[in-house]
Amino acid sequence: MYTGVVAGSVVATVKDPALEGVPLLLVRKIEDGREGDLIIAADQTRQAGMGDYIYMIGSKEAARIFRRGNIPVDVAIVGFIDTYNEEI
Amino acid sequence: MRLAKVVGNVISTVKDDGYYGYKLMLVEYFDPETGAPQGPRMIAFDCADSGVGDTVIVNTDGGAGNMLFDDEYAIFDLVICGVVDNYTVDGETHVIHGAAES
Repeated sequence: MYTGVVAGSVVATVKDPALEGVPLLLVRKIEDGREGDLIIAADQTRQAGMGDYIYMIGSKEAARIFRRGNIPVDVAIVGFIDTYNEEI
Repeated sequence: MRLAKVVGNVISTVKDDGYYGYKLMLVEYFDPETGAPQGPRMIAFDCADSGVGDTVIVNTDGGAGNMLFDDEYAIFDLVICGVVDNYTVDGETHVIHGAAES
């Protein structure tokens, strides 16, 4: 799972019907403290807001995490980071 | 599976309900020959009681996570499934714990 911060949201009315009701957020990936590119992530927790530090799951797992068949998403937000300890 | 080093951990209380009860560690892949870190640091579930500083085996397949934890509900990504004592590359043995087999 990789980490990021919620930077915005995406609204699309014309989309695959399986994506109905799936909140789409714009997330800036954070890799080793450096801000990476902005990607679209489906918010499985349905609680993520601007500026939240989150972690995401990708590929097939992202499609399965909604647990209603396979939702056509490739990245899904699955949790919030309370403490991020980098000891080495 | 990949060799990785545990470089920290992550505490997360609000998360997918399948993830409660599992320890989240921060792992970093490295090149076994040179030891140089590779790629970004990522979050992995711990199934081998690893600690910070350990060299571990990380399984990258979600399905394997279900088998390792014997839990079909949670959807896993990276799972630490072993703590490495030593490994050998091109005849050169890198010892982390204990003495290498002679």
